[in-house]
Amino acid sequence: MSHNKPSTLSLAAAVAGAVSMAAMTVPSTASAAGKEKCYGVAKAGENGCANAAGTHSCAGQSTVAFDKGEWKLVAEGTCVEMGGNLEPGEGVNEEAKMKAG
Amino acid sequence: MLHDLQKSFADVALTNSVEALLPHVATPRGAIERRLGVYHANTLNSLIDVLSAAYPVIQRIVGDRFFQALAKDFIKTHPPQQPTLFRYGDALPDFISSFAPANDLPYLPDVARLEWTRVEAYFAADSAALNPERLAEVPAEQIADIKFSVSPTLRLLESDVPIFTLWHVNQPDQDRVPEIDFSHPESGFVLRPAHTVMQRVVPMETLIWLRALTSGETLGTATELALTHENTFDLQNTLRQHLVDGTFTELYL
Repeated sequence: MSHNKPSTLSLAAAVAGAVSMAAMTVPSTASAAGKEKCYGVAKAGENGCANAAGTHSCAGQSTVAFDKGEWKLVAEGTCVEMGGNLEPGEGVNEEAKMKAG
Repeated sequence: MLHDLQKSFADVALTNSVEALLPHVATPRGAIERRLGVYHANTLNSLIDVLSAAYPVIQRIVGDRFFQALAKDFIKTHPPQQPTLFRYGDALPDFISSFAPANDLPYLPDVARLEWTRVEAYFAADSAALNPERLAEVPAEQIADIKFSVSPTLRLLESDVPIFTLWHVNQPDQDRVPEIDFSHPESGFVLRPAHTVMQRVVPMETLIWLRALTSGETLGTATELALTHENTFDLQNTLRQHLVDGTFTELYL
């Protein structure tokens, strides 16, 4: 496969092209400098204490009865709309079945 | 002594078993279980919230009830091992593989892996992108020998299923979920250039190129590997994209 070894010339040309095109897209080396990290403002769940919101009060109490569900556990989100599952026999599936016994 | 007491309280919080704690509490038994149950419920629910925050796409795919049951089983078998909740849930993708009710959704573990990868990228160290002009300074005959160090937030992913598409169509702003061809493999990467986690689907040869550079191969070798996989590999455009994205942080000769 030696013909796939890029020549010095082609590498240098590609890199030069990439650099000049990138220079047009990247505003400057200070592209990130204009942005300050805004501490304390993070998408819910993407900071370490986001979950604190759910921990006050005894709100959690109500779900305790949910524990030993007699209901059949069926995925009922968007998976149904997306067209269900892969054909049986895919590696992951079989493996999961074996592990689950 | 104190350790035993704390351990028995942890049992209450995680599994709602009050037996070990009973000798330490003066209140009548019925009231104890009800009161201590509050700790259990709150612990469980805050951990479910952590998982829900890390895996919103999984939750949307399977629905709230399924997700709750999945999370509870996971928490029972994988209680937190460290005091930082933002790291909690890394084992969920593997757990989903062994979770029997999810057998019908074999793509689920890989979608979960993508979600966790995004969490990792979010919390990885910041880094400054390589200034493209550094490349312009390298003499032509040394270009092949360039090695890059890559952003600590970069994660490469390869899956037999369309994980990036599945992730995308399950964002909150997507109200119509299309039919998906689950047999279509996807590879790509996750990166956090500044403050926002981004992801891109890339062809296999680009993944090979990135994988080689990430593991310390030279630009020459990485490009040769990519070209061997697919001889239309476009170094100029691929490199341009990664210079713009900020994939690389430094170059060495």
